[in-house]
Amino acid sequence: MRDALKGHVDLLLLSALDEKPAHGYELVETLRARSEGAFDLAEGTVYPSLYRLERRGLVASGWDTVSGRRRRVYRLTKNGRGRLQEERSKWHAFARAMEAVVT
Amino acid sequence: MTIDAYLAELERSLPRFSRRRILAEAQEHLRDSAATHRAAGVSPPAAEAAAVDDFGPVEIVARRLAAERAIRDTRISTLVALGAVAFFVFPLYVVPENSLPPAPWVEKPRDIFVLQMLSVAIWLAAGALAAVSAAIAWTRWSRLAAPVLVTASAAIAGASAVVAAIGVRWVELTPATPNWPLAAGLALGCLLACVAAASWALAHRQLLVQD
Repeated sequence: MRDALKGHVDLLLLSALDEKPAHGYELVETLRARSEGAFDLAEGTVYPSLYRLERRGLVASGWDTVSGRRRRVYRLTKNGRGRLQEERSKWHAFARAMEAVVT
Repeated sequence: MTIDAYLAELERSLPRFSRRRILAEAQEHLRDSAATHRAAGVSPPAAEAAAVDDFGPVEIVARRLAAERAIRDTRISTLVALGAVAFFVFPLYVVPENSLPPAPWVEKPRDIFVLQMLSVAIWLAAGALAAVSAAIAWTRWSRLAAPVLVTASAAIAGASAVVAAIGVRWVELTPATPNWPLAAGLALGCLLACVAAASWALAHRQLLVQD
């Protein structure tokens, strides 16, 4: 499953952040929970993806105190929300096409 | 492996300038993960080992982190390099022509002339390389900017040495020259050039070795 996720991690992270700002571990947990355990990422590789999204201006981050501990919290930017809508549309079109062929 | 041992290994594997934030985030992540495992009934040592295992092998995590951070660092380095070029080109090649006392030699000694021409050539090359590097750094080929920039940084450092040699010779031969602005400019310029070269070398060591 990990190999199948290559190329889709950015979309997954943007989607997870669409609901609310979150720190790295929270994002991993969200993806695991929403996929019912299917998306079991190598957790450390989430951070390079987050840094890439931040460099592209799609997410922003800052240190925050959560449950008494200092965390780096990520949130979607306006550009990030726009990109998420685009990527969702592309994904739905791709998924429909795949389903039409495969099933 | 314990969390502390993992973090120590990760620290050793990451470029010096990029690891503070990464290590802080990794530490919090691993603590959270270990807490989750403990809450599920796993013993503390086994929970730490499981958290480390979930996080992934150090070499893979470090390589991806270093590569991503290197792109950002390259952009910063290119700006420093361009700043160093601009700092030298204007004050040392444009302003001194009109404002500083004339050089003491009526006919330029051959060695000074050669040094001047050499430094101009190096600076032009450095400026062109730094500009190309900056242009690449903001495109999808940003990882290619690093090798270009290291060449620019080396050229800047070389040109700084040449310009410094000319400046020292100038001041030596012209007692009335107010040498503190020249010395300060040279020192600051050399520092900037060294920062450009050193920041590149440190930030991209990982990228060069592993990619």
